[in-house]
Amino acid sequence: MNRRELEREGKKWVEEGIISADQLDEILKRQESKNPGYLVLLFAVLLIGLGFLTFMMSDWARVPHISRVAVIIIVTVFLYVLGDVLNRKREDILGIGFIVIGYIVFGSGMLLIIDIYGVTLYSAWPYVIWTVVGLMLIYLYKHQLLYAVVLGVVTFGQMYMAADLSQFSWVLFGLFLLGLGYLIYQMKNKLFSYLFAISYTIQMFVLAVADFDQYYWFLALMIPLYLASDFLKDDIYKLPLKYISIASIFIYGMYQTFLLQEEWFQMELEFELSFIIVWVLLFAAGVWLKFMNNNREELTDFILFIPVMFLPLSYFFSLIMLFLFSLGWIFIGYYKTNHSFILLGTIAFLFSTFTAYIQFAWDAINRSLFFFIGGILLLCISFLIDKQLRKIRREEEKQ
Amino acid sequence: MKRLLFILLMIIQAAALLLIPIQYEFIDDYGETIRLLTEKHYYDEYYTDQDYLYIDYEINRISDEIWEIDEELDYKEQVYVVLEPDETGVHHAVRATTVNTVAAEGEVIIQGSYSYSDEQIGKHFVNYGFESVNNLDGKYEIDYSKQQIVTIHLAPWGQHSVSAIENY
Repeated sequence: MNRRELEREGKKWVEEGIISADQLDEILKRQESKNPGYLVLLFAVLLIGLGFLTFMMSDWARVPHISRVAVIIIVTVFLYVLGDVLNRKREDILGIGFIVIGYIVFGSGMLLIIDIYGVTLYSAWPYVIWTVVGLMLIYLYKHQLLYAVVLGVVTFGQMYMAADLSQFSWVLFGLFLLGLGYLIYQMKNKLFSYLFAISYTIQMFVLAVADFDQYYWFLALMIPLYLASDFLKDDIYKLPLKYISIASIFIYGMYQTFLLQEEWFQMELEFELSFIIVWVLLFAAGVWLKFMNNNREELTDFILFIPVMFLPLSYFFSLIMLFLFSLGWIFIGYYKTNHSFILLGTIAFLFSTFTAYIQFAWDAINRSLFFFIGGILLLCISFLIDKQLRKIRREEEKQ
Repeated sequence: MKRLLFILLMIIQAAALLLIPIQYEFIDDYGETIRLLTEKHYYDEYYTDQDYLYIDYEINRISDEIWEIDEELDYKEQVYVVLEPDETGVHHAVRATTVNTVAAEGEVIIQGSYSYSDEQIGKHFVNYGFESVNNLDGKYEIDYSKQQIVTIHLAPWGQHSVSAIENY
């Protein structure tokens, strides 16, 4: 019998005193075996979805006639009903797989209809509908695959609308923050916290590029993600949000160092007072939070958030910030004998050195020498990283 | 309860999919009809009878005198173009702004996305979304060597349909 029947019968047994509640839990846990077919099913779902998508590019599908719409509706409903029935009758993920295909068919069907009937999109409304339907499906089925797909829809929607319309959809972002944010908060899952943080970063990047005139708004937009990681106490949320925000700002710093050297980029740079005001407020909030939580050494993270693009020789200061951040963590790590900090600082130092190296050596020295020295640098730093990792492992074993 | 939600979801999705085709039937009743001139080309004769007709309109090029935008625009930034009909009923562009205004008597305002500007000829290029016409049923033929008039129905909700292409 499948799990649901077992649960029902099992509860009766507990009531009749045949087994204890703990024993029921043990029996049910044995049912949850890891299914290796999960990956295969994932690919099957993706392929079928892709197949339908390519079918929709065909000529037959692109004629604006109600028959095509009828086909899309019938296929969508069929997939959903099939998925629902399979989900109730079986234990594996097959039902959810079909629900996901149905969801993808719905969204892409909607986009196809919009295209063939000659509608010009002035806002992201189809993606909003798609997301809302996705959120309701998550409420019904609560499966991880659904979460991931709806996250994908939101992120893709933002990117596509920005490319097509040069606009950022605040409605979509609101649904993302409140709807998906709340659901992923409930999930208490590290992977999905990472996915949420990555989607946030991509959307903020889109916002900075599409809606704002100056690229450096990305700096101010990422601070809330970092602040959220300070706010949340549980490591399941704290670490993913913190790592993604730091990594993104670091990569931003690396790119900035290269771009600020270009004259055309410097000419585009304009001073915006609104940015400074927003940044000061967010920065002050961040510093205050650090002092409240007694995490003063983590102020090192804020080095990366300092806007240096207005200073003369800005590319140089951008590089200095990257190094200060790396060295900061290395010193703090040695001071507090925390090898994770030293590891973080060393990795950051690796990337800072590489940025500096590419910047100055690319033009200055012979190509082969460039790669040679670069390889040796990598060797040294990998040796240092390895040493730190071993120390961390030894510490963990002691505990 | 969850059963109800499932059925509701099916209905919502079917409605979302049916929304556009149903609206399409009403464009003729609710929208504005505009007639636009195409541009003459001397080299694209082989583009006739294709599955998709790509039409180059006169209003795709807005000249400097009626371009009332001072700032530099990003690619795909939205602009609003005001059209007025002349004596023969063909609409021409009279103004281009970045903010939407209420249309005066006889004017039609359409939304477009900015493409680029050619300073040498003093023209700004704007796209509107009805440059590409679905011709899978082979209804239309376009002759690029002549200037032609395209009749377009515009609905206030952003939908458009081309109903005729005739000679000027």
